[in-house]
Amino acid sequence: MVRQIYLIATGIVFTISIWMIFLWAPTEINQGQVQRILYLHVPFAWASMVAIIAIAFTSFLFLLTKNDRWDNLSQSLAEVGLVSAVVMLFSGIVWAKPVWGVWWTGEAKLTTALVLFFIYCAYLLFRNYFPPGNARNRIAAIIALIGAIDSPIIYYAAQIWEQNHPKAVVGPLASEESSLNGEMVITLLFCVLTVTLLFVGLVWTQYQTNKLLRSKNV
Amino acid sequence: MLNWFKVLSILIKKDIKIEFQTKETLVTLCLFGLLIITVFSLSTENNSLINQNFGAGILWSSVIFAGSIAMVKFFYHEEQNKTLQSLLVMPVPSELILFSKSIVFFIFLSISEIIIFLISSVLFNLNIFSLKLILGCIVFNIGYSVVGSFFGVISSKSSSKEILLTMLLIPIITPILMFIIATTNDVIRSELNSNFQTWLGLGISFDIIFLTLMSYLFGKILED
Repeated sequence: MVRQIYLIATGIVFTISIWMIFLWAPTEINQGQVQRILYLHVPFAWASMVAIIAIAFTSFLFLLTKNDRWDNLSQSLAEVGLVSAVVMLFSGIVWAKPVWGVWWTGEAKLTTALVLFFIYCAYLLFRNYFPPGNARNRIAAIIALIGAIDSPIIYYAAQIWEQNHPKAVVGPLASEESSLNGEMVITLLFCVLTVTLLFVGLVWTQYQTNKLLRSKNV
Repeated sequence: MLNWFKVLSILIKKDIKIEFQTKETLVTLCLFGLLIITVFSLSTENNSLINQNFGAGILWSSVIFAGSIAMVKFFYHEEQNKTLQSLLVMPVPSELILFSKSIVFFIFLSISEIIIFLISSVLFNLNIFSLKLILGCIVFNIGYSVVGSFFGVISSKSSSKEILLTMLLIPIITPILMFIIATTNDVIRSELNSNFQTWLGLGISFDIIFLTLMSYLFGKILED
């Protein structure tokens, strides 16, 4: 019941954020309408980054306590984290083409995001392919920890890589910093709050679903 | 300490002896790697500019994919004959098993790289032999062998070994993969102003971090 009320409240907040994105926030002068993608891209990027840290934390707690609830939470976080990573990548690609002139560049953040997506895939594939049981849950927790430890190294490597490759210089924003006005900042922060609420709601729902599936040994 | 080295050398000898009987890992590594190189050489014109731009990518794609297929073969016999379980019953520290596997795979990988590089330099008309690349290959092979052996043991228990190992291995080794591709690009293009030292620092740090981490976690994945 509590979860249903929470999800309805999230739905209302989400509707308000849609109104803010398309009707309340002004159109950015340089980028035009395409800039509105950032109101979804940034929050989903935030959600997918937070998810990997949360998975590492819950996996560590699982290894420490051997309590199945932490393992279930890690799995649910990874499933929702993967969806967030897909939304982040797709919205980023759609935004980059008209603004940078290219779909993809070797930028550190982009490379890290893509590898992060593959880490989520690897974690979930492992859970799917490995025979169920204590060994699978323990090894999955170890993989999650390794993925989280590797993420900052990947980011650092991508930064060095970026120095070797020219950045995309096509587009109106290529050589200048973007500036958001007050209403845009409020909209962006509201969207971050909305996606965070949505993320928690989805993880919560997924947690209950996985709990049910585990009790039925599916 | 002497006992430690003795046990390690026995484990290495065991793996090399098995490989000399079956010859599966080394043959898979070399042949599969060369096959990928040949496919690429058929699909690109023998243009020096194209080869300079894509040479590093082609070389390392063949090594990575041949390596992951060979890694599956390498651990297949362990799982079939339950050798790993037998070793765990004996008073052998678990990290020694990881070290022995990594060292043996490091040797096989290095041999296959020499062959693949020789053939590629002929097929793509590339001048790739330099001290910088040898150093880079050593650092890369250490990281690849350690992380690969760790995930090789994990995936050997799964029904979809090949896909699982590749999916686990490649995202994790991305930093050293970037390092070795950047180094190979520098060598192929004969670039003088490169940040090789920064890359080398990153590669060595990766090896140290993952060697420590995986030798600690290896015992945990073999519990039960």
